[in-house]
Amino acid sequence: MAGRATSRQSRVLRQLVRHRISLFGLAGVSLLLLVSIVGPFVAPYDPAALSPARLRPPCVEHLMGTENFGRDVLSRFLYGTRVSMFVGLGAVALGLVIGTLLGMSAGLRAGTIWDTLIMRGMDVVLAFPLLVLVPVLAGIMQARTIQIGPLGLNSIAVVGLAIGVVSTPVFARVARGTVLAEVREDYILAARSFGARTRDLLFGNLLPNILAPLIVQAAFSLAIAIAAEAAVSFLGLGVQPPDSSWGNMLADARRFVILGAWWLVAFPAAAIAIAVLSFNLLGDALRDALDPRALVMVAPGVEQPASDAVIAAPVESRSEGVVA
Amino acid sequence: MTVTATGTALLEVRDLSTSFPTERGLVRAVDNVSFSVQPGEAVGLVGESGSGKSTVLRSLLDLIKPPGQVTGGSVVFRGQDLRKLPESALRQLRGGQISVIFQDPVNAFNPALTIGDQLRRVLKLHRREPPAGGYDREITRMLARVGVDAAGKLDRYAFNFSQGQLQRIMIAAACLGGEPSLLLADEPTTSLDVTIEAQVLQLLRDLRRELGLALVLVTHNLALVAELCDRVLVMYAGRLVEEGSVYQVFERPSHPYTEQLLRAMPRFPHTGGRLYTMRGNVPDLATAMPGCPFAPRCERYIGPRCDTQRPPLARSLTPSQRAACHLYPSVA
Amino acid sequence: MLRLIVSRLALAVPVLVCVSIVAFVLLRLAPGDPALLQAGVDAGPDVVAAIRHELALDEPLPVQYLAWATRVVQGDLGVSYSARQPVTMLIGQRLPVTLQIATTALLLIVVLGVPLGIVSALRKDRGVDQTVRVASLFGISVPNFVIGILLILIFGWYFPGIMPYEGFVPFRQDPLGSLKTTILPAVALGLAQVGIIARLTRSSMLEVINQEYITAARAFGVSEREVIWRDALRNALLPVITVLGIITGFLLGGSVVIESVFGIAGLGRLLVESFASRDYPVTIGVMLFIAVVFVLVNLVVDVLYGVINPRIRTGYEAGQG
Repeated sequence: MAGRATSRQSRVLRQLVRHRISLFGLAGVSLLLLVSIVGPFVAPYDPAALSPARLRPPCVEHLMGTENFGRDVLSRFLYGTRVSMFVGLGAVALGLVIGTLLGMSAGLRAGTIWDTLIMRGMDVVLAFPLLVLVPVLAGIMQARTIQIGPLGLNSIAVVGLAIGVVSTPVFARVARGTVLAEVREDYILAARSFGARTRDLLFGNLLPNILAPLIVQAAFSLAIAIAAEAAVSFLGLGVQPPDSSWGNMLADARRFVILGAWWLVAFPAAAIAIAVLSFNLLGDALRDALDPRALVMVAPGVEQPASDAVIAAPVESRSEGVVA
Repeated sequence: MTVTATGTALLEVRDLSTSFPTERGLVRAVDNVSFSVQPGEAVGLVGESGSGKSTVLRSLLDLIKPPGQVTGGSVVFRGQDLRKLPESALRQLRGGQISVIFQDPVNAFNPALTIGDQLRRVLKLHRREPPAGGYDREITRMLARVGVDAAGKLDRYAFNFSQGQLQRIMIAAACLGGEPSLLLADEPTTSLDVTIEAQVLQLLRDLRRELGLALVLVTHNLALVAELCDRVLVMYAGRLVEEGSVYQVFERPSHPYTEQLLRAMPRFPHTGGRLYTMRGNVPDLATAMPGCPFAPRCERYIGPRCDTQRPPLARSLTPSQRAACHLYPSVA
Repeated sequence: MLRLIVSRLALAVPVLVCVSIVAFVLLRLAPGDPALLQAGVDAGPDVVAAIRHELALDEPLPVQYLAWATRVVQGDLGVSYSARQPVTMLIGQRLPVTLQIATTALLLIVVLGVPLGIVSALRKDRGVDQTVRVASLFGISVPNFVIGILLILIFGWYFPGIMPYEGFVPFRQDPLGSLKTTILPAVALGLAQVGIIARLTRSSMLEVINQEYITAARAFGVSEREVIWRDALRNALLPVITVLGIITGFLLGGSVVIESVFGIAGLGRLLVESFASRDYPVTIGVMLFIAVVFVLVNLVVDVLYGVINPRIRTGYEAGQG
């Protein structure tokens, strides 16, 4: 079993690298991760530092220009990339973990009240348009300055939490659906007949098999989460100044775009586009690579060569034939 | 050479080839297949899954989905090469003089259109003038002829009918819609229960006799061929490897593949011992095979010639039998 | 058919109830004393006490909820703290604006997206297809408000005067001017979805074209044009219709942001403004309204799908075999 898993992993990796599209996705994601980790260390200025050079277009001293208060856009951008990426990653991580747990337990108890309760709860969250619930959630949480134990949540954490909550249902659905499909498989029946308990089933047998669609979903949810953070911060209900994120940089941009300050828009916009595009492409590529059906590649129109010859026993045979 | 004079054949297929470009390379699903069908004759086209038999059928009327395409050969029907016909003329033939019935009747009907709609369309396309009494009356009559009581049910959809009924409806559309002289059947009973299969078989037999239809029957079920057909064509890896009358091919097969295939069929009562299975697997159609495709699995392998030279379809055990095997030296 | 509608409605009711519970909880979570805020700074203690009693603020939460819910069902979403007007009235004022923009966006999406998807499927892997696929990929990646800002940059700075880039003119006032102010926001709102619908139509068409019944239709001599327009399209458009319901959700959510970008006094903007001014009844009222509309739209799409898809429709009538 373990041997099969590693060869599958290597096959997945090979297929991922082979296709150009997935390469682009991987490249984009890697680049963004790099910038978000290293960026703040190479930022030329303090992102909150004011200066008299206001609204300057890109030049040698300020490669991305300056904004309304003279702050260096490049520095703000580098810090903002970290914020936006981490919010997205944190939110999806939260949604993934909680959603999977909920979805799996719902799937294992499919048809019971527990299952209905969980899934109705997920439906309720999904009943709100994303960009209506997230701003309100985030806004109220910030207004109340939530505290978890001794840690006070700053605006960044609040946004991450809000988006995480809203991301949970989709993972719950994927997890539940996959569990329902897998539960019918024979290996589960076999495990059960050996007396495996639910917990063993969950983590030992099911989890490795449902990981694939969850990972695919995570990629797509990341794209959505990043776009959501941008929108919420743009509205002023997300990441608060002096922290910068792609979203609240765009809020500034909006005010000054009619004065022709294109550099305020271009860089965060490009970053968001690259992020969303890369994660979407990555999700596409992962889905193609991890879909077991894709492993049986057959030429279109040609019957499956994998099956054995099916020869029906003659109902009424004219020929006696040669007996073995 | 073909066994009968070419002038009288209803359908004369020469060197038909069809290929599909895939990621692994060009798959030669049909590789220089030649055969003929006489008027009123029933020919069985048999082989394993992947042998290309269904593709041959679909190639005859150019029903191949792109990017696959028919790459060579001629399909002469009543003196006309179908491959050279303009699309409009070919369309008239489809469902008119040559009809097709498909494997899974449930999938062969459009789920979003009523049965009546679909049948009416067939009639409108292929009847020279509207039937007396109206289309619906005619359709109901047609369906009654095949044993489906469809009075008042023409506005129902495919999923309202059972599999057996749908297969009969398809047969009605194919045989009674236009005026076919040739019926192409692609595994018509494979998806059906055994009891329904028997009924459909009988229906096909009756209609054939009544309408004088020629039949090309594609199947992997040798028993079916024994029931319905006069002649048999055996395919392997996209090539025609044996041809002869049903009696000849089943009683005294001349090609090693046919022989091994028949041997692998379990017989009842089984007298004990292991069941015979052929060793090896079907070859990958994307790789070029210069010699005989069956060579790796053949129990009558005679030497390197089998691997390097492609055996032509030539006369084998009797004058009316042909096999593509080096066991039978080809007479020019 | 009626049974279909009723069954779908029955499913929607619990969801709506839960949605209202969420809205209520969020409302109570919002900081500040509702009675004080509603009464205003100058109000005397007895006025405040009266409001407190009216809103059942001293009762346990479930009772509060019931009181609030009964009012909501009767159409009373509370009173705006700042405007001193019923929330419903405010919503009524702003709704037509948002509707106009959202409907225009929806039209744009369908009129552009579906044909592009069909052409893309029919000319698979050729020039048009590649272009559509790449373009839609980019369209999906750029958030709608970013497109909005870019549009403002173009029409406000580089090519001013062609198109108004800010504000909104009500239709009744000036139809033509109104349409002009609608275009840019509608484009920004809908552009991303054009790509989604195009891709969906494309993949749906491709899947349908590979079905056996399409080959069968060809085998019976049906012309290629009829095969596409009659046989294939009918089946291919079914999933597209379902997605349109989801798209409406995107449009509703998107209008929250787009209206802020273009400075349009619509429903979405109201949500944001009211939050900034701590006018929570309005915020929650708008949120609840939008959510209810969203649920109802999906209900309608569900029923519509059932009407169009004969398998679901006749499945509710007596079965036959």
